[in-house]
Amino acid sequence: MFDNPVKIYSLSTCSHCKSSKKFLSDCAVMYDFVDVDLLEGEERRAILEDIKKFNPKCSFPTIIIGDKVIVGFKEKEIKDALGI
Amino acid sequence: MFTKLNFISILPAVILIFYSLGISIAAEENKMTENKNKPNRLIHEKSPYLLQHAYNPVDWFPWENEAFEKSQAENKPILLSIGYSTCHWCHVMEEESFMDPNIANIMNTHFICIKVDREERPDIDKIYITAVSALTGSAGWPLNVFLTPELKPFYGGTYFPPVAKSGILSWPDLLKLIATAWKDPSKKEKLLSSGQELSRIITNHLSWSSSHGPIDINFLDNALNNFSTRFDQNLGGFSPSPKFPSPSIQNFLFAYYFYAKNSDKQDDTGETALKMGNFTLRAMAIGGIYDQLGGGFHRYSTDAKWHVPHFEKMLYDNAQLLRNYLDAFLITRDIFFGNIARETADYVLRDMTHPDGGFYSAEDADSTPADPGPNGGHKKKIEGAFYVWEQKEIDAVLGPEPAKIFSYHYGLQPEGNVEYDPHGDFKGKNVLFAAHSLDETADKFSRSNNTIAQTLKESKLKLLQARAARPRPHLDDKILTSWNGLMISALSRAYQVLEDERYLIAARRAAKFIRKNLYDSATKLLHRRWRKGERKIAGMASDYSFLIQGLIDLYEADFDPGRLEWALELMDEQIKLFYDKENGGFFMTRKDHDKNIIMRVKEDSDSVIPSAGSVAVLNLLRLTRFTDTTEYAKVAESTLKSILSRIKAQPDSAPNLLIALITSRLKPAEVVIVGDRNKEDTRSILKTINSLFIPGKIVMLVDNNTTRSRLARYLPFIEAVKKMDNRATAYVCTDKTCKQPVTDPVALTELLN
Repeated sequence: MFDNPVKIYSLSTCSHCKSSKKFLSDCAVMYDFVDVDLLEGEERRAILEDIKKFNPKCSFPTIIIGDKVIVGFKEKEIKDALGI
Repeated sequence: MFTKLNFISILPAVILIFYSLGISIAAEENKMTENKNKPNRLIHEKSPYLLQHAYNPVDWFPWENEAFEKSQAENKPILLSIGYSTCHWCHVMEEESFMDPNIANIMNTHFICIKVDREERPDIDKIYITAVSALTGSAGWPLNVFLTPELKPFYGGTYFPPVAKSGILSWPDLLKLIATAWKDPSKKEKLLSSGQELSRIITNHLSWSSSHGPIDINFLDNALNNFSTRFDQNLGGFSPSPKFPSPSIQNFLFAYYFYAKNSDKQDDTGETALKMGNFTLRAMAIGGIYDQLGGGFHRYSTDAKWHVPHFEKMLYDNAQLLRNYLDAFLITRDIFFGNIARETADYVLRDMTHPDGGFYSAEDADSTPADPGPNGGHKKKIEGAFYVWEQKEIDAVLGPEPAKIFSYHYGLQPEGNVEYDPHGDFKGKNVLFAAHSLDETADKFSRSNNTIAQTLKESKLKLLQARAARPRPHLDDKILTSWNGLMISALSRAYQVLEDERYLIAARRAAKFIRKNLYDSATKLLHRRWRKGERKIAGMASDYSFLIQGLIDLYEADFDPGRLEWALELMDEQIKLFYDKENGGFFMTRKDHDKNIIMRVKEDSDSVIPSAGSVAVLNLLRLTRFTDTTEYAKVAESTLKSILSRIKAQPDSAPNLLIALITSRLKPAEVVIVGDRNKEDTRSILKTINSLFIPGKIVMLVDNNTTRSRLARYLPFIEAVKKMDNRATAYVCTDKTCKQPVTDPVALTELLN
């Protein structure tokens, strides 16, 4: 249904990350996610570097939809990027 | 005090009705009343203002059915007289006219006379002061309004003298004119139709519905421009004399400064706003409007330079100004502002606190002079007597050298320093003001700043002790929920900023007092006023708004989740009882408040006391984020839209609502701290947050499993937050985006900035 892959960089403790995941599930959108705070050591550092490429402020959720980057649980922007 | 509203005055028509009659009143009032020293009905009231009139020969009624029924049965118009216990001109009129048996006789013969304390019943006051403003272009207190038996206002004014003065009708002449007109069928018809017309005008003004236009962020710049135009660049303040403190304006200016700093604005309007706010606060604090010895602010300045005030001290002014000075201190780190805040908070703890913790309402301007005067036995109360000084008194208390230093610093003159004294109250007297800076005084006496500061400190203490022996002004010791809410906020913030535990203790005791004496938790009914064991009057929207604000601020100081839970309970009740679902905004009174009220008023502007609606929006925006409740966000947005669309042309009329606009658009930080409040690491995180000026931020503390589960009921993610590296940890989110949690105060400062 949706062509663009969706990836969420999130924290396990972040309310707006949870809301974003719930929103995507409610819209029946498949997504991949990583809770950065649950990672450790080198893996965590590497992911943080990745996020900074998309979002220099390194804040959560950082949502990647195709070539679009959305920072925060912004319903309208997410819908626009998904084309729904 | 005067308030101006934009109406087309309908005064000329009404005056014509009276003057076409001349004065020819019958002899029926010549029987002198004999109740000179007998109490009237007001003796059964608890309001200090009503009790001040309990021994008048006027046959006063309180606002109650018996009066309205009598007015209808006897077909007599009502004289509604409104004031408050620390109002100077109310005392003057009481003494000159209401104590005069002849004048009382005219009132008793032709009118049903009702007294109302505006602090108990701001709803009645709002309706009828708006009517008088519509009639005459301005209004204030004492407010005297003539009503039909259906409670429709047809004429009114403020103070009237007992005998005619140039251009001012005397009170007895006015009474006779109205009484005569009422008895003439054709004139009475005109009075009744004037009552209808006036009621229609004020209903349109006070009980509006409005279209919800789009919210334009330019409102903020337009308001700032208006304030810049009104600003007195030389003396501070936002009006010519008389100059009132304007806490809501300073609130807005500081919030605007924050907005400018945190948005893409390239100009220096933020700095302009900050300068206007700070300059005004500094000018007030060195003026006579500030009690240089005892702390706290008087009501307003009669001159443009903040020197000679009306001396009453009101709880609501001091609560709001205390917050202003704390904000100025946070932004500038100038200890001058911190000291004024501290002295003002100390004044409230010392002089304005009930033994059980509630805060009193006000202190009067007038008091009996300690010095009986040249002929002895001078017992008449005089304005400011408690606060002013003759040079010889200063010399006697301090001794020659310290007196010289003190007199130079505080602007004393041997012949008195009051330039304009129309009533002769201040002959030879001095109103203290900081005439010179510490540097100037040190230079003048060739001493170090420290030595001078120490001398002045000792002198102030001695004079404060000497002053304590003088007869005190009357204390209005009724306890109002709304004003206590304002002070609970201010003292909670004072604790955060000044780190003095006494302020937190005082705020907590006041909240406990209100809960115990003015709230019924079974019915969730909040009351407005408590005095001497009696609680009375159903809470109005302002009682809810200001108490909720106080509880949220108190939560952010002591982190007892019970504060938030009570605030949420009150918020739900406030929406249920006061919110206008159709048009947005909050009514002042609940639906079943008082069947005699001719309309349910909605305020759309912030006066000296902010409107309940503005503060409700600020509360809703904070509670939305404490609970993630979308209904609150909707009510906030709808109220914001409805009021802003009404005040488009004058956005500066609701400064507190504009702060809500700022916080709703900037989306300030939400911080959850996990840590033990008694440990240094948590304290250090809290201290970091409290040292930053961030209007609208919210802060929560999770320090044990009980608070965790209580807070997680509203925000489920709180179940998961935990300490990192076994250190106190701050979780920061802004605008639906979260940062990685931090444990380091420096990193936290960076996140919040």
